[in-house]
This record gives sequence, C-alpha cells and structure tokens, in this order.
Amino acid sequence: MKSIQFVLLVSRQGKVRLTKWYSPYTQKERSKVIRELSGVILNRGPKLCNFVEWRGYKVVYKRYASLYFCMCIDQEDNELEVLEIIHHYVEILDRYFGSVCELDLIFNFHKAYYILDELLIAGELQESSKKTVARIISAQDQLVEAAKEEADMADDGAVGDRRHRCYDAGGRRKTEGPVVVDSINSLPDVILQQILTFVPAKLAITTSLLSKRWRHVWCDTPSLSFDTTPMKVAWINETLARYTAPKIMRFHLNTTSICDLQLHTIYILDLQLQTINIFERWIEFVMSRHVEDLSLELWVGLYVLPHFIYTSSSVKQLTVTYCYMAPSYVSWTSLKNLSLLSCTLSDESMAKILSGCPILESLTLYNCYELRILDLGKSLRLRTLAVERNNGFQGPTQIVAPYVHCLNLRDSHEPSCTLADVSSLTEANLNICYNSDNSLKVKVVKMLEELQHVEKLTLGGNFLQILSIAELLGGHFPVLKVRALTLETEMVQYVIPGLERVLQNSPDLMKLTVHTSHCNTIPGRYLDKYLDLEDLNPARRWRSKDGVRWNRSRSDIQFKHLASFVKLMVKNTNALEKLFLLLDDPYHRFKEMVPTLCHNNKVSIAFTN
Amino acid sequence: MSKKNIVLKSSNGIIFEVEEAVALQSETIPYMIEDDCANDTIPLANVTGDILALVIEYCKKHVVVADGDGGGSSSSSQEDLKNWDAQFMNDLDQSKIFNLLLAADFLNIKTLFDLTCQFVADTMIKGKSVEEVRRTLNIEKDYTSEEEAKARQENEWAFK
Repeated sequence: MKSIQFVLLVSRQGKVRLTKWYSPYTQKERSKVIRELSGVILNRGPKLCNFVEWRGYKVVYKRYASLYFCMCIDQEDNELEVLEIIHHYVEILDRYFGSVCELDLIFNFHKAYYILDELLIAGELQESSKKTVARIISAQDQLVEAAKEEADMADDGAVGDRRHRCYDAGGRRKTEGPVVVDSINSLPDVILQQILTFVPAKLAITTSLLSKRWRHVWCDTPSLSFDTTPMKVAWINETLARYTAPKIMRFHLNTTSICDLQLHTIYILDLQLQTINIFERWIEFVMSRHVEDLSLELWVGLYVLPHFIYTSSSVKQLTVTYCYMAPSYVSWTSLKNLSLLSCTLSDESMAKILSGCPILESLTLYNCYELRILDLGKSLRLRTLAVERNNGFQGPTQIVAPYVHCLNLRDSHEPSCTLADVSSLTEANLNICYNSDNSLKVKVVKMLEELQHVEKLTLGGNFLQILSIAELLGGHFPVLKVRALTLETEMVQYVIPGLERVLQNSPDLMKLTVHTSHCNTIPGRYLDKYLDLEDLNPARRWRSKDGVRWNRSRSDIQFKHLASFVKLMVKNTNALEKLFLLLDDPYHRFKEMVPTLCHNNKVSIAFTN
Repeated sequence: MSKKNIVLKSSNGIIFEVEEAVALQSETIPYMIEDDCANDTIPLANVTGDILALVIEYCKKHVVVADGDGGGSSSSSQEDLKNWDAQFMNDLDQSKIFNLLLAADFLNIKTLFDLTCQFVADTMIKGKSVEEVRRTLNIEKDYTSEEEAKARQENEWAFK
C-alpha cells in the first residue's frame, strides 16, 4: 500500500505544471485523471474543504497563488498529514527560488522535480528536514555548474584556464588559490553582466557577437534599459523573449525612444488600446521577474497604470513619469524610494499609495497634477522628501510631513506651497521662484519659522531676494538654529538685506558656504518696482547696514564687492568656524587677488568650472 | 582617539597595515575578522600585492572624505573625489582593471566595483562597434561565419 498515489500541480487556467506518478498509470489513464481532477478542483469554491473524495481515493489539494498543489492518497490515509507535506514542499520551493512564483516552476521545472524527489520516494515522505533538502539541491547545482564550465572551457579551447571555477553556482567567490586574469574573457559571467548593466540594452545585446564566450552573457544581465533611439516595439518584445535572468534588478523604459509606437496605437474614445496592451505585457513581464528598480517613462497621452502594478513585494525603487495613478489597493511592501514625475493623482490615491508602502524612506514629487494636501503624517519611516512645482502644475499646495528629516523644495508655481508640520526636519533646501503673489514675503518668513530647528539649511538666490524685501519692509524674523548654511546665489545687491538678516539671526552658525551660480531668476527691476509701490525711499534700498553699495548684476561685479561680501559675512557671524566660497565664471578674473581675502584662516575660496 | 590597525596579507605574501576604517570599507573583511582572530594578519589569498595596494589606495582616499569636511564643502569634495576616481582609473592598464574588478568583487567594496564596471563600460564598450570592442578588449573572434550569422539573426534588431 502506498501513501501518495500521485502529485499534480495545476495552474488556475488548468495548465499542468508538474506531475509525478507513484502508481502505475498508462498514458491514457494519466490524461484522463488530469482532465477529471482539474475539472473537479478548479471549480471548487474557495471556502470548500481541501479534501475531495474521488474514485475510491482522496485528493488533498491546496491553492498557493495561481497554482493548485494536489496529492492523491488512499481512503484510510491521514489527509492532514498530506496537507502538511504539500506545505512543506511549497516552503522548500519558496526558499530555493526566493518567493517562488508560477514562472519559476515553468522555467525551472526540472528543479521542482529534483526537490520533489528529495522529499518523496515511492510516495512516502523520506526527508523531513528543509535544510537537508536545500543543501543537497545546492550541492547538485554546483556539480552541474562545474560540469558546464568544463564543457564551456572545452568549447573555448581555453586549456588550463581554471579561473571560471573560482566562482560557485551563486556567483560567489570561493576562497582558493591566487587569481590573476589578463583578459576580460577570463572574468566570470556575473562580473561581465555587472559591466553590461552600465550600457543600454541594445548595446549589451551586440556583445553577443564578440565571441562564443559572450554569446549568452547579456541574457542574464540583471538590468535592462530601453532608452536609446531608435527603438521598435517588436525589438523590445524579442529582447524580453530572449531574456533569461530570473530576476531583474533594474528595468528602465523611456517610450520617447520607440519610433513606431504610433503604429501600435489605436485610438478608441481617447483610449490608446493597443499601446496599453503592449505596456501591460512589458510591465507584467518585469514584475513577474521580481524587478527591484523599476523606472517607467511613458509619454503617451496619460497612461493609466494597470492595477496589477500596485501589488509587488519585490520593487524597492519606483520611478513613474507621466502616468495617471488611481489605485484601488496598494501593497508595495519593499518599496523604499518612490518618484512620481509629471503624474496625475488625487489626494485619495496618494493616501492609498502611502498606506501601502510601510517602509517608504524617500518620496519625490515633480510637477504632479491634482494633488493638493500631501499628508505624510502616517509615513513613520519617510525621511526624505523632494517636491518641485513649476508653472502650470499644481503639485501639493500644502505639505504635512512631521517625520521627514530632509526636505528639498523648488517652487515656482502660485499660490506657493505651504509647510504645515515639518517639526522633525534637520536638513532643508529651499528655493522659490518669482510669482506675483503679494503675500509671498509673509509666506517666506513663515516658512523660515517652520525651519527654525533645521541644522543644515540651503537657501536659493530667489528665496534670499524675497527675504530682502521682507526685511526692507520691516518683517519679524525668527531666530534659526542652523549650524551649516549653504547659499546658492549670485552676489548682487538684491540679496544683501535678506542675507544680513539671516546671518544675524543664526547665532549657532559654524559653517557657511556660498556657491555662486546663475540662479537668481527674479529680475531686479521687479524688486525695485515692488518697493516703489511700497513707497520705500530709494536711497535706503539695497545697502547693507554699514551703508556699503553693491553691484546690481552678476556681470558688473568688481573685486571690491567681493571683498565687502566676505567682510559682511565674517562680521555677522560670531560662531563661524569656516567660510567657503565656490566661485563660478565671472569671478575667475579675480583669481590672483583672491588670496588677499583669505588672510583670515576661516575663509577658503575655490573656483568651479 | 586610538586607532586600531588591521594587517592584510596578499596572495604573494606582501603585508599591508591599514587603519580599521580603511579596511572596513570592504564588506568581506569584517566576516574574516569574525571568523579568525582579529589580532592576526588577514590573509587575502585571492588578491595579489599590486592589486591590493590599489584597493588600499582607493579605500584610503575614500575614508578621508567620508570622515568629515576635510577642507572643502561637501559639494566641492564630492567633485574632487570624482576627479580623483577618474584619474585613478585612467592610470591603470587593462589587466590591472580586470584584476581590480575581481578584487573589488571578492572584497565586496561596492563603490569601487561600480566605479570599475562603469569605467570598463564607458571606455571599452560604449560608442564602439563590435569590431572596435574586440580590438580594445583583445577578444578573439571564434565564430565561424555561419555561427556569426546565426547569432546576428537571433537579435537582429540590435545590430542595425
């Protein structure tokens, strides 16, 4: 009497993935059994019992994801024990493949058989230790690998070249003998594939022409990038068909590189049906290969991301460009970095996404539509937030981010974005562009109040210019705890009053860096006009408190301005230990005179290109 | 602050003594310290002396910068470091580069490994025809013309 008569793995669609017979059945009987049983089991509801009586036997089955695992036993056998065996088998598969899925069993069916054979012999459980099975299977893998290498070497004619063997099946180095290679061909595949991750897919594929050694190297490259022109839909399809790596580390797709996408686009009621199908196939493919870093730039209308993309346990980094996101449910359990560029999503969708990302650490939102209030109050592990809003894009108008430590905000859209709760911030980088919003000067000061606790602060030139206006009009400024301040600005008269005020209000400042660059985009005449309206005495404008006059623009700067600038900064900072000036082009003509400014060893000056 | 030193021994018996922080950029060495005793020399049977010297040179440069502000603001030192990296790679010949790849992989120094891979990709593969890559990397074409045609056909689109 045998315990298990046969083992059967059937997919939800009724496709047989594995069969193992422990009693004699003719081929005809076998197909009949499979047909009958799939009919019975696939049609059973999810709440029904896992045991079915069938032709004097009992069939124990359990569904895991899309697969039904069935084992047939005698009437008097213990069905619970068999249920345990099934689970045991699944656990071993899971450990071997690393969260196993149906595709693993399709591509590596022989491995599934090997593992089953370690587990069951003649229908009886023979090895109950998962560890033992795993060890035996990996030993077997190594044997296969060694044999393969030997065969390869015989092919290559590389006599006496034992270097490949320094790597075991997993690509890890075994510690044996010194290794010296003199040609790229002697490097193991895993390293060649790492090199190929730095080139676009098209180029990686051409390496298959180099020599026999290189023929199939690219197929296992852990990264695929389709962003060089010109590309065709059929080519991508073919590449994916030949791609054999069970896991994709990185997949990048930029549709602007595909030249025949229009041919594949059939517009029906504004929906690009064919394209959608193509994208869905590709995305489904990479998700089935457990992609970790997924980057999709889909510049076709406003592509609605398919629902299956919202469930993944493998994706760690996701960048989505120009898509419409309306998930019904999100489960991105491994996601750490999320970037949404030019995407459209509602507050509600954003909330769903955030609640589906339990370990999200970094969030980037550039030019996103529809979003209003970005509430990160429940994202306890989110540390880094970057938001950019350009004209014509709504972006979030309010940011609630009590746990974020590092904020990067570029804002040139009105009404400007407000910070509601950023109490954990230690690092911030802010720049705001001109807009006609009259209350901006108040908002900027308010923003500074929210940033009182920040220790590492970067302010842009425009931000300083607006602060200048607020200072000239007599605003009240908070005292800052900043210890390291970086200013990305030009040295022009329009930043002086604001700069002076910020420095005076930063008693703990130890390190000050000024990076000159062409970034003050609010023209001086607008600032002047603004002050005209406020009836401010022109003679009092734009001078530092000691009455020094400054240059109006970047081009008319003279050495004396630079010298006064340094003096002003040193004078207004008592605790300062170091002042760095990084000067760009227009300042290069002062190169010879600059050392005279460094008499104080606090100051150091460098030039950038 | 007392600094602990670690002694590394290359496959051809050359001894290097480095600060702990320098050696710990390798993710392999800590395991070796755990496995053996930390006081002894750590034998690196896979890495020859000249390559190990390069690895240590790289690690020394990068540990200083990771340490603190070392005389430049963060952005400028990043830039300096990039330039240094580029120079470092430029000075190496191919055989050194490939052995450095193996060493960086074995010692598990991610930044050095990526830097070297990127360098090989940029200077020896990108922007070159198959024939040029063969010449640069000294790869012998061992395809017969039928085999080559077959390989070409397999991924036809990539060769246009």
